[in-house]
Amino acid sequence: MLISLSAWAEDNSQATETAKVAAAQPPDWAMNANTYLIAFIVIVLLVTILALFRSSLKLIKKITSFCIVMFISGSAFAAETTESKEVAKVTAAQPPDWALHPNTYLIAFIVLILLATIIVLYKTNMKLIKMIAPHAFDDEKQTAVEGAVSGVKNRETFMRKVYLRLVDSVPVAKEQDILLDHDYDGIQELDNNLPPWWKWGFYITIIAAVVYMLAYHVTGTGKLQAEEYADELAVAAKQKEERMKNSAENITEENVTVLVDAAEIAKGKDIYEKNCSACHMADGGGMVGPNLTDNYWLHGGGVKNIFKTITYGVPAKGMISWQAQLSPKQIQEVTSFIMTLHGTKPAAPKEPQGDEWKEDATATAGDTTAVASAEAAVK
Amino acid sequence: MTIEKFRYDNKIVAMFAWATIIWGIVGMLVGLLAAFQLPFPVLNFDAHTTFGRIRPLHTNAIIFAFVGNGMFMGIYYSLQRLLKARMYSDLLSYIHFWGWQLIIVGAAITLPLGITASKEYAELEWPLDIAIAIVWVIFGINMFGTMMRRRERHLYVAIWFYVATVVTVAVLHIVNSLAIPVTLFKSYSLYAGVQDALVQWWYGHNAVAFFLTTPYLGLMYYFLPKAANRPVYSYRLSIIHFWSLIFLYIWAGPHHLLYTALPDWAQSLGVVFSIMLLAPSWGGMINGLLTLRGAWDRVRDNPELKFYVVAVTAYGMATFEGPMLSLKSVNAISHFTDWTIAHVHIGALGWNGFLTFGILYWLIPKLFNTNLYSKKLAGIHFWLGTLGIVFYAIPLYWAGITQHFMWKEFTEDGVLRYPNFLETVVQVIPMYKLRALGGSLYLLGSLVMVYNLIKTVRAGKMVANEEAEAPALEKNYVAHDDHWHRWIERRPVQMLIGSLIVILIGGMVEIIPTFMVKSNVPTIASVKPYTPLELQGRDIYVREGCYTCHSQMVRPFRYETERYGEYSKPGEFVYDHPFQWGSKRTGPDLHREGGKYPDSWHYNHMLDPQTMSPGSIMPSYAFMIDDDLDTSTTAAKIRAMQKLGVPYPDGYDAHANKDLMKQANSIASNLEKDGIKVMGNKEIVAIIAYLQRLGVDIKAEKTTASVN
Repeated sequence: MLISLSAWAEDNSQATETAKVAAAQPPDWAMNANTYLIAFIVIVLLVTILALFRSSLKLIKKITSFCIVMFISGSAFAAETTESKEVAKVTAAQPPDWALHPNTYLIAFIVLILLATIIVLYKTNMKLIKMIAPHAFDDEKQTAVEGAVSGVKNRETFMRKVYLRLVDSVPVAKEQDILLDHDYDGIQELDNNLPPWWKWGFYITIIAAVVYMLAYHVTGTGKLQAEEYADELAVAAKQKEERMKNSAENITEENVTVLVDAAEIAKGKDIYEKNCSACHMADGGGMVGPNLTDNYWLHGGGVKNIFKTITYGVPAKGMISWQAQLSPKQIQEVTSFIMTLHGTKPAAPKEPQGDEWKEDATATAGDTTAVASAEAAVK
Repeated sequence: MTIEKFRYDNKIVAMFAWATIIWGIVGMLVGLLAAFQLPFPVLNFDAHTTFGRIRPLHTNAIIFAFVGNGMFMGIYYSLQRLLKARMYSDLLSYIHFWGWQLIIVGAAITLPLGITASKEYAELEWPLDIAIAIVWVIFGINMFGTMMRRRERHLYVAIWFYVATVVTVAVLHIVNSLAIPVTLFKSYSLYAGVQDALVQWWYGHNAVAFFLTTPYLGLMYYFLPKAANRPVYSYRLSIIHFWSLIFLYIWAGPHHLLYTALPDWAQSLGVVFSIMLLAPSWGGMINGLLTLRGAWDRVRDNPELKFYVVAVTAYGMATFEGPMLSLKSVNAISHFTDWTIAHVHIGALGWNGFLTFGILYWLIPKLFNTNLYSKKLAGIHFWLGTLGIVFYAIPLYWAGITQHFMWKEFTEDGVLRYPNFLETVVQVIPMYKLRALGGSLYLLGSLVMVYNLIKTVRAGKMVANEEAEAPALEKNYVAHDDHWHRWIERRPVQMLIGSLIVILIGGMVEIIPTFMVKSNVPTIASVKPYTPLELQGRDIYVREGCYTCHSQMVRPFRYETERYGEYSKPGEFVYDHPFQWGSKRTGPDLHREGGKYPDSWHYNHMLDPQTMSPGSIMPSYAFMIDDDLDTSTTAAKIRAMQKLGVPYPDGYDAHANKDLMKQANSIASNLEKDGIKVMGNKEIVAIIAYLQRLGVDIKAEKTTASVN
């Protein structure tokens, strides 16, 4: 069971990696993680159905138990996958001081709990197997009993002692001693002690709760959401600074140029189709947004103005800002593509809007729009 | 000691059993429709069957019709036997039964009509809310009347859970449903924004606790030892886990609102109480599973025991997962994704569903004095159900985690890798298909059960009134208690008051300061009430159940603020009766939607979402373009809002419609500029007005500040 569990978990983590890859290079179904997941699940289904029909009644029961275990482990591993991803993120973000990061301890804590759960679930599973095949563990029981009788101290009996300590339950054979005189429509009650593992678990969660409240609301050790967010922004700002330093050509609306390379224009076309065509139509004829093929521009034509309009948007007119979604390079690409649309004949061109643009009119038009949009925003 | 003869009322149990089965199948069918609508939007047939209206119908049907009737079935059977008494009043039993079924029919009619309060699992409008309260109180009276006439001195643990259920559900339902009626079918929540959200999720979380959990734990404590014929593992564990469970559960509501505009202290309380809830929840699971000690071999032959084992295991899984999901770093992943949907279905399909099926397989033959028609078919049902759960849950866990990581991924250039939300939806659509397959398997299993039970019933004859006898309680009872808790077990009223006090503490500590202490919701000067047109548009948004797929809560994460804009502040929601934060993002967040796109974009998008967002799975709302906006309610709505403290000028109701038409005409002329001809009096204009208003007030604040 455990082998199948770990094999399965591995399978999944691999598939997740494939998901990342697939995301980077989209359409190919063979690269898509979902394909594998579906295939995997379908195979599981087929195998189980086949087994169901081919096997005897006893076997069906065995598979039933297996299925329950799969089911249990399924959700356990789903949680686990998440945690392992979290670990990856944390260590990737700031490798040297991972030891200082509170998440590390949280994750360690969760992993511990998960391990404990898996053990508990494994035990439950063993119970299930016992219920299905009561004689499966006769040998083991025999040795355990013999060990206890002869007083042989090996590792197994030690583990068993710990186990019995943690469970602290009166064996079924002796339960008459702790049977209460309660009788409700034939239902009786035993007076077993609270299972120590459960009781201590409860205490630990209570202590954890107190520590949590102290850390977040008294000592201020834990960061609340506003502070976490500020930190996140600071990290991003620093990364941006680094990027700016390293990138030789830092594209802005001041220095942007028209690209002519066919491959780069193609990239721009791809960006256009994904993001712009809904409003400006695939052929640039305009619908919700203005026509991009004519000589008239609402916020100024030419590479610099178009770049600027795409980057910052003109919220008052419904043009959204794309700087959070597209990099300056991508905006340059899509700008260059848009400029290739000029003079083409769209299927249903929208009437001209804005002023006629002449290439030498330069920056002034752009400035007025910026001022106008700022004013509109204030209003 | 005189032996008294009496008769158990089995007929009412059988009636609730039929209702459980019928509504269960209906609820699952509606759920299946919703599941198929996600990958196949063409299944949103018309205005009444869009996902936004179907999803609340599904949740209400499963919770209140399927599980509700299942709970009553089990309680009416077990209560009589545990107390050695017939139900207090047959009349009350039948009023309870028919009242409850009428409410369900009312829900099935009103929800597809878009009559909704839009608070999750409390969508029903105020007349139905009042009916629920009345029927619930009748149920309570019937239950306590039976206790007063009991022939059993002590109340068994199952009954403690029933008592806690009756008391707490009444409190939750009444407090959360308080509203100002506008018309017969429309009301505004008494609370706004942050406070409304807190009350709603205090309710929502505890609907899970006290409607889906405590009554079913009670049922488990009766039906599991009965079927296994084994003594309950530990009486002391019952006591400890009962009281700690009901005390701790009530606090945990805010874990539904982590990283939102809810004050930090309330969020933290939600986290820590959820962590502490793990042991009490597992107390129920281990007491159930350990009761099967020495009886595991019987699981082989008893279909009901098989179902119980999976039900209790699913309960243990869901209650382990719950506290984990309440940790903020995990919740950041699961919230708004399908992970949550997978989680609740482990509970609903596994715990509630399987426990109900197990009870039915045991109970129906008993009621009809015969044997189950086919154990083999029950085995097949068990199989289909278990596979159904696996196929339902795993794809959704996968989808949730995938989508989260797509939402938050940045490129090396520091921009979002998937800026178009739709890409992250398209990625998980195959998972939605698999989920629908899982749901189909589960439903198929249930149909096998229906056949099996019909065959069983045909073979037997109902024992409508079952003869029983028991000695009357002695007048001069001398207690010789083996445990201090026996004292309260002899006193139903003290039990009721005790549980009431225990469950009130958590709610009061969280809710009262959020209402009374001003710093919890700092006001923002630029946040103004909605205009009459926007208010009408907002009510359309509520009517269509937009909140079932769109949140209005930008969380303070860089990947959210980059995608949507500034994160949501508590002061922005002060006029939101009810709040519309949502709990799931099948589509993008809308809190900063205002001004993002031109009016014509919204017009085209509502007409046919695929034109503006190719591949979108949102249904078309073309009917809004044809339907006239009902402006006859504007004045009443303004007056209701004024009663709730929204600062419209005195007498504004009289000329609100004039302002409404003015704004509507300006939007219509704006649309005309983009070549769209639409009259100002259509619903589409109102919804556009509302969408364009969303989240813009705070932008005004910022600009003014920077200009100054």
